[in-house]
Amino acid sequence: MSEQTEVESKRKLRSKEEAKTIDSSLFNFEDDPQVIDPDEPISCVGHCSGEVLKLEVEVPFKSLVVSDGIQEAKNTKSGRRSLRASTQAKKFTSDPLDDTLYELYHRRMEKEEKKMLNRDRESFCSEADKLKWQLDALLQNDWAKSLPSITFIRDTRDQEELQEKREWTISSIRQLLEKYEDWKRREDRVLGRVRAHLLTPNVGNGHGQTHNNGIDFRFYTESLNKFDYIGDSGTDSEEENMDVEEIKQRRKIKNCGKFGPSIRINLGHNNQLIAQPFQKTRIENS
Amino acid sequence: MHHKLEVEDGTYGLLKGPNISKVRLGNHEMGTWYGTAVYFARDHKTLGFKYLNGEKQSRSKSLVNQEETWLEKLYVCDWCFKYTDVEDEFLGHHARCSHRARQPGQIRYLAADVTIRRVRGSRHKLFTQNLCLFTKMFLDNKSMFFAVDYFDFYVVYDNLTNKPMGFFSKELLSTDRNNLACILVFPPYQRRHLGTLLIAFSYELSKAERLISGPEKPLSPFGLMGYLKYWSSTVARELLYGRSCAEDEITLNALSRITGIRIDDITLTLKYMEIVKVENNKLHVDRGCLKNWARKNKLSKAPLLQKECLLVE
Repeated sequence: MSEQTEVESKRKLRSKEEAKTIDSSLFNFEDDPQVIDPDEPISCVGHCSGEVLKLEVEVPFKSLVVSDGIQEAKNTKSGRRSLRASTQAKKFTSDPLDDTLYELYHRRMEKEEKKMLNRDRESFCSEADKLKWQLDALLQNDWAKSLPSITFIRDTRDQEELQEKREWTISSIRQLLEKYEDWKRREDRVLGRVRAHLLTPNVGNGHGQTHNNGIDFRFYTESLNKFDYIGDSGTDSEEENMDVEEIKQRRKIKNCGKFGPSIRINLGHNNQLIAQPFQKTRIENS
Repeated sequence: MHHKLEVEDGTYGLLKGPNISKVRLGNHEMGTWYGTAVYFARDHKTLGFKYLNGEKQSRSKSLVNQEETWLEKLYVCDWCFKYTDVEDEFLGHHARCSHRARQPGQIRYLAADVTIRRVRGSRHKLFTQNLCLFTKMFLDNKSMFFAVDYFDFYVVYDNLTNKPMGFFSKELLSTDRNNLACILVFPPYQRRHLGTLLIAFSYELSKAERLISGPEKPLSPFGLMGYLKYWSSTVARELLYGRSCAEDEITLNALSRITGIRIDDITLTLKYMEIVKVENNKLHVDRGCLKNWARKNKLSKAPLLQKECLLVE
């Protein structure tokens, strides 16, 4: 995570002063005095008389005053609101703003927005393709020729600078590509959510992969992200009048039925083998 | 549809200034802060859904400000955000709105005074679309209103009235793994610290996923203000009362891991708080300045969000 942020902050340099002279499409590893190294120790002292680190730009909070201007609404025609509202309710035999009224317009607009989203998605994918191509170029024998078109180089005759920046660029590209692959995986999962939901087996329902008293061990691994599976249900009216503990208990039971129970096996000498869905199986000493 | 061009030219939904004079949200009436084209058909006066249903607005635009005012008053249901330009339709609907008795989504935070519910865009399409449309009148940089399938909405409800008071949206396919796309506390409910609560909650969601995360950038001025308030209180609380309180040294990485806040955002926060000093080319946190900051900003020891009320696991 920290490495990724480091890469991002290095790349962000582009937008600062350097941007005036350095092509913004290039990787840029020049020092930025505004960036603090995430691993640099910052000592905590009672008092320090050094120079204060301040924001480069002042936050214009004082100008952010929103006038209240909120009034209680009055209905146009005379009469008390409650009376008026109930009269209106009687006037219409059904909801005058039924869901179906909005359907046509909202569906059309949704279609237009999805086109826009697809364009964003395509540009993200082509950015990744470009990174793949750049990585390939840097792994070739004639990498020194390609590097200046990918990364900002102060002196193209300086072998040390070239070597160093080649390594940094390769590692940055790999991290960005990892981020892209992670996004691709999530996209597959999210787009396939409905399918995943249908395929989720219930314990002991005779599904192909169930063994050992009907427990499906597919979920007993920490490599699966439980948030891709849990809590997919919509409105849950049964929870409406429950307190926090009751809701927790109810969801625990529900998830246990969906993904399997917490399994504890005594190994002797107070050691227990514990297996739980979406967690690494472990041995605990009690 | 006529909106096609506006969708494509990159200025989708954006207008120079407010184009709806007033909005009535339930029993509250207020002015709008930003213009929104997406409620309307291309004639700039008929609501889009009515236009497509064959209705055409014959009224002339406001005489006062013909250029900018497209509609004098928009009526929005404060249970479900359905909208209309006709008062009678609003009143008729408001009295029988199905969301009155039953709120959408699943409970994710349950405190004595408020509840936060997760409402999936894919499951409650019309509700979340209407919520986004309403939001545009108070947020400048919002650009997604109808394609809500891949967003989760976390809506904060008042436990006394069961009315929604604000929300934030979270993109399921965020390329940067952001934990928040846009946030709004509705004008009648502002200044109740609900924004801070929602921001704190968005970080709790990420912590449960073991992610260091943050909001989509760029932030609006109001967004930045809200975030700096949350980030600075969180960092101050950690340095004064948390695991780091007795440490002689800290790093940005460590602070980020503990708080779940991104390193860039922590750097910004430390500079904003003006508690880090450079001496002999080394960085120092001045605890004296930190304590002064806490006093000046009336920092409470306990955070606003109550962890025992969370239902995110």
